[in-house]
Amino acid sequence: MTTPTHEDIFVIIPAFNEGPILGEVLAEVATTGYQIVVIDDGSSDETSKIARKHTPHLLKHFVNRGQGAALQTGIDYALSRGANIIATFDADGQHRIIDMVDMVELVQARECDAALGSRFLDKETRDSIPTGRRVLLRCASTLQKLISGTNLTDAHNGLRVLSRKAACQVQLTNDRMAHASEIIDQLFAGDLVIREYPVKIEYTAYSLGKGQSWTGGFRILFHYIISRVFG
Amino acid sequence: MTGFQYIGITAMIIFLLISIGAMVTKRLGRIPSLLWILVWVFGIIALLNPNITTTLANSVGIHRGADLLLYIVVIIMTIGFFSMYLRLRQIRKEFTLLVRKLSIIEVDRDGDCEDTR
Repeated sequence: MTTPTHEDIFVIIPAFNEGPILGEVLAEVATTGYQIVVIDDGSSDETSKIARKHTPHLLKHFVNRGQGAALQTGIDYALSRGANIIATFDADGQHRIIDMVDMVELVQARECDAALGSRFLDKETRDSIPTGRRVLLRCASTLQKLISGTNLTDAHNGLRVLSRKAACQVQLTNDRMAHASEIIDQLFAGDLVIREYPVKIEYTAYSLGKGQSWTGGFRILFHYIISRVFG
Repeated sequence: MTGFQYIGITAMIIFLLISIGAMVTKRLGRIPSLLWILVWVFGIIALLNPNITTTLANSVGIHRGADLLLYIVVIIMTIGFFSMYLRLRQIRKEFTLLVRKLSIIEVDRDGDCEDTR
């Protein structure tokens, strides 16, 4: 059976030294028939070589600039290639393809302009989040609500699906992880219909190792506040 | 005058002339230049009459002149570090734009080189 291709649906996957898992993740994403855009963010391992086997859309940052910078590169590229729907997907294998496809269908059906993944909408998923991570994510959502007034349950979920209109609103200036809050601010600033969608996260030792610590969380908060104040 | 005062005043006069030169040749903006000139002039006055810092400190409720100088230096350095951080942030942003443009140009070039026969 051949996979139907979707010329105008692009999946943006920023990758920094994701060699051990990237091939598996890309093979799974390829089953959707969506266009895969990998941004190798200055990796020193085989990330580019692996990505090249799965997609012609490989962009390489010659030095590491951070996930926010890589996402914006992917969004700019996808828009220039005529993308009508853009999904952002983490390279560490924590997202499920089925969730992304469902969210794409929501945006395709024009039920919303942006579908944002949330791991807090489904009780079973919520309970499966390691406690330390759950508290950290809750704090991030609460602070985001206090600072910018956006009411989301999961402010830092890497699985998002945006219509072309929504993607055009995004202009990330936070190169590092504070982009996750910035993207929400920019989406909410526009005249867009935004929905949260319950997603499952598959926590593995690998994905947890790539996740944020508490000190990382404070750094993100500092960068986010600075960008809110100084642009 | 002590030897330290001679050396200090000579150094301050040199820095003062450099700051005036930077302002005249517009290598440095007017406000930062004037702030530096003010610092050097105050330094010369304080070296000529060390009691002036104590008088100033007492007028704002601080006991010793050296403490007042320490607080001022800490405040100035904090402002200086923060403004350098903001400038570095701006340079990083510009660098990211450059890296992004290059990555998109490269992918286009890779595409152009493909043999489509």
